[in-house]
Parts: sequence; C-alpha cells; structure tokens
Amino acid sequence: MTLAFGDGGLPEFVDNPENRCPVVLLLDASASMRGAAIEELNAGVAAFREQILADETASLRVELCVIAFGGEVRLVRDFATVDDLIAPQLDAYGKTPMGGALDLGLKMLDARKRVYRRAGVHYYRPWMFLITDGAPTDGIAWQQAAMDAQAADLMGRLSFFTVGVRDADMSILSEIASPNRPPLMLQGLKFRDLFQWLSASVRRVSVSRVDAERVALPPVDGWAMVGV
Amino acid sequence: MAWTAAVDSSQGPRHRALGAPCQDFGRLAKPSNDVLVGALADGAGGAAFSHLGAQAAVSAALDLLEARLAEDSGLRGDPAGGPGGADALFDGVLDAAREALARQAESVGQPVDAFATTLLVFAAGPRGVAAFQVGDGWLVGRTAEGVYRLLSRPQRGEYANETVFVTSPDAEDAATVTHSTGPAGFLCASTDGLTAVSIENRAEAPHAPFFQPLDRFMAETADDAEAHHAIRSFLRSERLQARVEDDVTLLLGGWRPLGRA
Repeated sequence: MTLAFGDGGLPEFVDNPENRCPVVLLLDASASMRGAAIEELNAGVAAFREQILADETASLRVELCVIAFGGEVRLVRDFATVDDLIAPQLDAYGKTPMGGALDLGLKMLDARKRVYRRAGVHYYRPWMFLITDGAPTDGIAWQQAAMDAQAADLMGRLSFFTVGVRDADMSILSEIASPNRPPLMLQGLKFRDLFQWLSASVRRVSVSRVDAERVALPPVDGWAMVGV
Repeated sequence: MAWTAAVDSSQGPRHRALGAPCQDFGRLAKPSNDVLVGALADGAGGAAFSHLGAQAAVSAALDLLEARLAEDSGLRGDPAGGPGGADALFDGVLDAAREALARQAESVGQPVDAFATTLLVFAAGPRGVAAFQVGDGWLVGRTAEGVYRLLSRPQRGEYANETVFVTSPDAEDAATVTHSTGPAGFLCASTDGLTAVSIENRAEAPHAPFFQPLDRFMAETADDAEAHHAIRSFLRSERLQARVEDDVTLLLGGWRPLGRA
C-alpha cells in the first residue's frame, strides 16, 4: 500500500470509546416459573450471550443488565458487555413484584445514560424487555411503573417490549405495555427463539444509522403467537 | 488556480457486505478564482434510493451556489461578503435540494423518504468560510493560530444512529448556517463515516493528529488530480477500512496565494 499522503505521514485515528447499546432484561423468576420454564429462560439468556459474543461489533456494544423478580426484586447483574458474563442461573421462588422490577429497570437505564454522557460515549436507544408468566403482586406499584415505562417508550427514551408466557395475565400485560408495542405471547417455552430474535434485532440496531423508528426488526413469528 | 481541492467517496465495509450501494456523494467546484464550493451528502441507511437522493441533493445545492457565486466578483475573498451574508448565500438551498428529491421520487413513483439524505454545503474564500448543514456531516478548518476547528458541527440526536435528513419535517428548523472570518488555509469536510476516527467524542473537537498530515499534504501539492489520488487511496486503504463501518467521504481544500505555487 502506497503512503496516501506522501511524506506528510498518515492521519492518526482518535481512540474514541465504542458506542453502546444498553439492554435491560426484566425476568419473571417467581415460584410459578419453577421447573422447565426457568430452565428454558436460563438457557435463552445463555444463548443470547453466545449470539452477541459471536458478533464482534455487537460484543463491544451491547451492555446487558439483568433484573429478576421473584420473591423480591433482584439486580442479577449491572450493565456490562457480555464477554465477562457467566450467564446467570435464576432460581424461581416467591411472588411477582413486577412493578418494583419495572421501576428499577427504568432507574438503572437513566443512571447508565448519565455514565455514558459523562464519559463521552455515544449510545443507541435502549431496549427494555419484560418477560412474565403471571401478573404483578406488588399492589398498585406496577401501575405507576407501567405509566413511566410507557411514557419513556412514547418519548423515545427506550424501546419497551413485553412478553407473556403460558398463563400470563395478558389483559394486565396489555395495560403495562406501550401502546406502540402490544404484548406478545410466547409460543410454549420458546425462550431460545425469543432471545435469538432479540440478539438479531439488537445487532441490527447497533450497526444501523437511521431513525430508530424505521429500523425493520426481524419477524417475531418464530417465537410469538400470532393473533393474540 | 489558488485552491487545490478534491473529493472522493468509498463504500463502507458493511454496505459492501450487504450489497448496498455507496450512499455517500460529494462534489466541488471553483466558480471563480479564489472561491471553492463543496457539497457532501450521506444517504440514509434504511432508505432504498438514498444514494440517488444524495447525488440529487448535492447537484442541486452546488448548481445553485455556483451560479450565485460566478456572477458576483465584489466579495473580496469571502463568498458570503462578511458574517451577515451567509444566510443570503444559502437562501433557497434546502428548497432546491428538496425539490430535486421530490422530482426524483415522482419519476420513480416512490415516497420522498426513500431518498432521505443529509446535506453539507460550504463556500470558502481566503477571507471567509460559510457553511450550510442538515445532518451529521462536518467541516473542519485551520485557524490563523494553527488550530483545527469545527466550522460546521454534526447535528446529532440523543442516539448514536439518529440524525436529521433533508426530507425530515424538522429539517428547516435543524438546518444551520455558520460563518467564520479569517484566512482558511486548509479545509476538510466529511460525512458521518469518518467522525469516529477524526473527531474526539467527549470534547466534540477535531483530533489534530488526524488533520495535520492532510493539511501538510495539501500545503505541498498544487495538483487537484494528485490530491484526488491521495484521498482515493486513503479512503480505500485497509488501515482505514478496518476502522470504519459506514460509507466514507473526504473533501480536502488547500489555499495558496497566487504567485507562490
């Protein structure tokens, strides 16, 4: 390769931090998830991590935060790229404090954005993904938290997805979901397909440069029930 | 000729992998002895015909400016004729670009959004530089003190992948017109593709070691073809291609007073 700019030397590249794409998983780990459901959910999260790791750019950009709700709200892991993550193994127990989990998810995201801004890190629109097989048991806390999450989605502060599993209360989930994005019902326990879709979608967003509203996401028919 | 200048674009690695066309486009002109005008556009990634939109917007903007500057010789080295003249200089540029996109959209029966593109236009003389921008391109110049400064800043949304396009409803409000007075010995303009390797994120300021070699090169050559060749091989170099994702465009201009070259 010839020196492009003669004797003047080559332009030296600035070492900017990598752009980040924050993803929050709010996972139901209540008693009703015991058995095959929690095992498949754990396997799905592990598969998500593998798929992100297999993509060089995505593995530098996607930051995953995992919050479980079962008995209490548990911060399983704070935001970090997935390379250092040993896929979490969630235990299922207790009730379903979904409102508290939503609230924590929103707070974690706001805090993360502040960290990015201070560090001069550019970032993509965050994703928040709620997966449940039940209904909130923490009183009316979920109503305020759901309103906050919907407002955040409508204002473009994040993209908020809700997924119901098996006996999930879909009418309450419809009230929690953003009007932009009605809740989806998982086919059986196809968590692995769901997380494969999520990793493909996140990868698509984290390499594109268009209005995020116009990024075409892959079809959901591999894991979501159609017409629910 | 007192300005040495050239521009070129190259398809980004990701577009090549996807089989998408190069959606960047740039052109320049020298409507009179001491004036350089340039226009760069970056077609939106998700828009099917944005490569045509980029070409149409650039041509419309450049034609308008070229005609406007060819007839006026009383500007004394500043195409805007001073800080107050920049708005008038770029008056109608956005409309001209939009009309060009609308004509194209109509001719192929597609929505105008399919031609979405950014647009950066500048006019430079030895005593002043004026720029018009919609989107996330940028123009860097060297001040009299030898400092590299953003003469037109990229317009960014909150998110890394979002910006404004000529076709956006808020393009008119988002459009910026800037002017800087003083000698412009060196100019460098680009679309978003080179931002990550040349502009420091945190300070949003030019990374001097990126621009110095380009500046030195432009100070030593008076040959547009040689400059074009250098830009072309730089944009296609493995070293650069390993560091960028999107299409890249680079325009360089070097001013040398008549008689010295």
